[in-house]
Amino acid sequence: MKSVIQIKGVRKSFGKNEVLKGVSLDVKTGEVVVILGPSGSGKTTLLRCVNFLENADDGELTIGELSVRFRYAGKKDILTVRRRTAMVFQNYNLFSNKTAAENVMEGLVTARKVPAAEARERAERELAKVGLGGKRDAYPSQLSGGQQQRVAIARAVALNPEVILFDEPTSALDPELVGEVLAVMRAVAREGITMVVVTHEMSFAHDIANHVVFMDDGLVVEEGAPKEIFFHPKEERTKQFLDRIQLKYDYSI
Amino acid sequence: MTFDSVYVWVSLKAALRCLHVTLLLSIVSLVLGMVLGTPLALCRKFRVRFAAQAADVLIPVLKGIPLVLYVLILNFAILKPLDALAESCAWADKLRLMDKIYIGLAALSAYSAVIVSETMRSALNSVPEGQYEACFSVGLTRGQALRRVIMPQALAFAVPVLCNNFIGLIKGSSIVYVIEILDVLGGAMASAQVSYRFLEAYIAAALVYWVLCAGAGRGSKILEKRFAGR
Ligand SMILES: Nc1ncnc2c1ncn2[C@@H]1O[C@H](COP(=O)(O)OP(=O)(O)OP(=O)(O)O)[C@@H](O)[C@H]1O
Ligand SMILES: [Mg+2]
Repeated sequence: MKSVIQIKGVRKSFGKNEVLKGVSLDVKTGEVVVILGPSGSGKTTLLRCVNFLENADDGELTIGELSVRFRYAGKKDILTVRRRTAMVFQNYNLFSNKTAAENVMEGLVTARKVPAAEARERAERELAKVGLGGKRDAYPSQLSGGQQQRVAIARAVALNPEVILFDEPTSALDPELVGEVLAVMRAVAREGITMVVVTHEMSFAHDIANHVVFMDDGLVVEEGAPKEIFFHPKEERTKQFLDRIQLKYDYSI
Repeated sequence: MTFDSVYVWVSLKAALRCLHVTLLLSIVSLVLGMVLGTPLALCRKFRVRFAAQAADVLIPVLKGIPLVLYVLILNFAILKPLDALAESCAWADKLRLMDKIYIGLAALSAYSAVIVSETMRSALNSVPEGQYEACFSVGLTRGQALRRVIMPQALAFAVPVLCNNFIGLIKGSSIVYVIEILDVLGGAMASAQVSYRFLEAYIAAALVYWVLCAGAGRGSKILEKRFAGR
């Protein structure tokens, strides 16, 4: 299968603290890659480096035919990468001065020069798909956390990116709102959109993932098919992590 | 001499004849303050080389200088070289005797640029980092992000503070009386030079400033409402 995005040897330090110690990742077309790992293992930092929200110290990124070394990426490369990817943040980060529909339209109209009428149509379609067709004129402050995150997902999907990066999209939500967001993400996955998802929702991860990556302490410890990682982990650290999450005891999948 | 309200009326009319000067001074300096102060704030926010460092040093210093000194220093700095020039060139003499309102405008605008740049800096800081990141993640450039998302939010935050800055400028503009510009205060005072009714003149001037500031406060409330609701 073709790779959508390939990362090789990403390194990133904050001062003396080396957070990513040479991480590589290969995401195939239409695949859902789930990244697991304890807090502080560098999952967020990895996603942010892919999107150049963080400047990695070293490593290489290939997306389609474009290959860039993180250190030497120019403004144009960065913009190109950002326009081929989309991100869903832990705390939604909707544009607070814009309505739901405008949030979805912004990247289309301003960054991609899609005509406004066409963008509006696409925005309304995407909002309807996440079940928020009636909320297109609501401002983020008028929406619940779950609704905001669904708008954020619509915003990402509307851009038709080659990959969508999700950073713990449900961990800022009240428990009763988690379900609606996970359901929307499942639908996105069914559309065949390539996704990289950081999550602590284990049963969701198990359902949705084609490929699971376990990170600890700035390194990929183990990766493979969900069945392998969840039920036959080879590495001690993976086992310990899964035990702590209590997957085996809580879910009889 | 007892208080005579008739003279308040006389002075009020004299003051209002100079209202345009006060309005010109305060409105132009607010606008120029925004035009100059916003880029200054942006330079500091985005650490533009040299400009940011210079602003970091200069703005706290300039903020500590009273407005009256801006007026006196600029008056001196502009007129003194013209004095010297005037001895040899006729045009310099003309410039020297021109309306001093330009000096007042320059002084108030410089002062306003400093004040407004601080307002805009706190306004920019009020926009969460996540808003920039969301902009970048959908592929906006920094300029687009500023124009479409960051500045609109910063402005909404800044509106009440800017209105306060404006009120400060309206009242502060009265300081130009030290270089004999005929504004509201100057006009009222001039009318008292004949009648020696100074208290009445002061009260007349105070009334005009109060109405202006109350109006600006009202405007602020309306603008805030326009920017709210999201
Ligand atoms: N901007 C930053 N400045 C300094 N240190 C940072 C910064 N961002 C992250 N770190 C550090 O990098 C390490 C990895 O952080 P990261 O957020 O990538 O972990 P994570 O795997 O996403 O954890 P979590 O599951 O809690 O979200 C942490 O030790 C964190 O303190
Ligand atoms: Mg994280």
